[in-house]
Amino acid sequence: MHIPDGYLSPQTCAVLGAAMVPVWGTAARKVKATLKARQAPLLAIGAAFSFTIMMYNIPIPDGTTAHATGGALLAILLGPWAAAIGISIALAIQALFFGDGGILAFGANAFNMAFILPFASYYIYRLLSGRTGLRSGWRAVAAAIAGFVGLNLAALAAAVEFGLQPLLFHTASGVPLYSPYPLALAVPAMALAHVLIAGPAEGIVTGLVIRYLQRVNSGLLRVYPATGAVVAAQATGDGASLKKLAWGLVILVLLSPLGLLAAGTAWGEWSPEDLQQILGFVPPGLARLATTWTHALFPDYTVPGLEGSFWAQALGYIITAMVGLGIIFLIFLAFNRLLARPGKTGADYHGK
Amino acid sequence: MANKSLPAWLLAEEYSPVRPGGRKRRPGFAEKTLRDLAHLGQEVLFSEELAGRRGWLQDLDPRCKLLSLLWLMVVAGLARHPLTLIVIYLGVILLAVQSRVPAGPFLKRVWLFVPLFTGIMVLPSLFNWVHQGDPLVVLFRLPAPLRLGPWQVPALLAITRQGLAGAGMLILRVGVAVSLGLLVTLTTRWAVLLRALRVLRVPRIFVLTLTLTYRYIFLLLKLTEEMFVARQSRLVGRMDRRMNYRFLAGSMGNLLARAYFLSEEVYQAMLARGFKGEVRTKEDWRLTLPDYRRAAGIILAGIILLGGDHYLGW
Repeated sequence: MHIPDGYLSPQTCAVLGAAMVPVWGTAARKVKATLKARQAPLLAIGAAFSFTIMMYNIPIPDGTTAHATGGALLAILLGPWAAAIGISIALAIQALFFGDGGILAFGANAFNMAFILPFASYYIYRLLSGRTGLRSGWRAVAAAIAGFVGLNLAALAAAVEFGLQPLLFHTASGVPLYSPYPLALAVPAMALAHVLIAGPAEGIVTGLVIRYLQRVNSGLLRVYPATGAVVAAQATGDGASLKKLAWGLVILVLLSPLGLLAAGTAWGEWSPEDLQQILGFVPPGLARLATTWTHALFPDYTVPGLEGSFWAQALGYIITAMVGLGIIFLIFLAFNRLLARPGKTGADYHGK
Repeated sequence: MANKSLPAWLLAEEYSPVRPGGRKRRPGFAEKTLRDLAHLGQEVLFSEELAGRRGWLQDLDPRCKLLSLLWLMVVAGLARHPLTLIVIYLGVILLAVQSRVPAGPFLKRVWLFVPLFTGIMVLPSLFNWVHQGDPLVVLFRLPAPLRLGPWQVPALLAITRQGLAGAGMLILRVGVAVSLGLLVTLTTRWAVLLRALRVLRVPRIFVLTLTLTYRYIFLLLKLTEEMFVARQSRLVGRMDRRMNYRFLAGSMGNLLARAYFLSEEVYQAMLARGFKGEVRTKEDWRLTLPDYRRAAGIILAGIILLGGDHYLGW
């Protein structure tokens, strides 16, 4: 999945590289905070390990061999931030010294394989494994699924990057300047190759190595996330800042109707009726898709019955804001329950 | 081979007996991995030897080299007319000749693989089924679209002018970009190249990690090679898929554990030698007039080429 130079325009590469800069910065800060001075050797060897895994040939059922990236494995063992740095470094060395992946396209490759892959794999693994014991067989299956899905999400991102090129970059006579395949072809082609070949390879590698470590060296499975002591320290600091956050949100909710004072509709948020007025016609594709979802509870942030005067609309706005915030809190509460570390309850963490 | 002459442990599992003669087996995953590792070592030696010679690019300050060749890559990326790319490539050949890079391997490394892989990838886009365009070579023309069950075959299958031009541009662009990258890495010692990344404002901690990674890659690759060769030299008969996967998992897990503990030891060693977490790189490069002249020449050439491309293509 390493994208060579020339397939993506310099503009695409620049945008994706710019998107990676904050990721690298945050990763460097987070890793420094947890590992302190040990980060350089640990990350270096993690990167060397990722590079070495990329050189392994994995036999897959149809008789050929494929390559895995080891990104999901690194994310599960060292955490997504350390994995992001490790994989970026392995990719940099591959691009600079072995010509595997372009130098200008490094930002795009890093975005796909060092950002999307480790983060997706890590959170899918945490979501699936939940509170199961550290040595349960389900964790290996969860790791395999996480590797498979993570790699395919990264491949999807690469496919979208390829597919947008002929749309955005062509000469006046229609000659595509970079990758010539539109989205309708790039996405199925990449999806086929990665769902059938590379995804299973990554999943098999991740699952099997986790299983091996469970039996032989389960200490490595406890390196990340942070142990109970750090989690407890984080929990005590919550009280005061949470109150300030709550007050801040309340003030923002009360101020939100200010936007109703502005006239007109935001650029790009027109309804078909607005377009009819502005342009004189409605594009057929837009007309067909505009009515896909008709079950909005509070259409346009208005409460049915509270229209008319400005104050009634403002009240409706505030009510919808509170409902929206309530839904968000409920969703994160649910996530919190699912992702809770077994160590918090203490029961099945030790000795399983 | 009579059964009673074989020891009991060899008869225990259901391995197929070893037969003399027969066809050479297709290389399995273990042989392929070992072959890839060997190729890697070969490449490293080749480029380190080249980077040690005296030549136009070898003598250029590595930071200037990196920046000016990156600029040329951006120019190649922004080019809209094939003539621009051809001129850049002629410049690349000139620089390669001046840097005593052997022409044969240099050209083969690029033009043996790029047209093949890129060409195959881009082959379907030649046809008007992918992109409508002006037909250049008509392959068949039916009186009306053909219906084959749920699919419809369009009446005309032709190679379009736009498809051919696009494919040509892509192959040319990839070839030029790969050649430029190859030129940088063949004429710079790799440890020096990593330290030169500081000019791109790469943080020092990343440069340190890169340098350590580069050094430890070879150690881990050697460990992997030893594990694979040890296994291959103890194999009797053929392995089934389950054993192959068990070996893969075991070798990777073992490598991971050893790598993790190696990192602990490296850290302790660094601490014992006074490492406090702050990185200082020793850069004893000084920019001289020839460096400025050469870098300016390359950058100016890039600007002229961009202007020419604008005039020709836009």
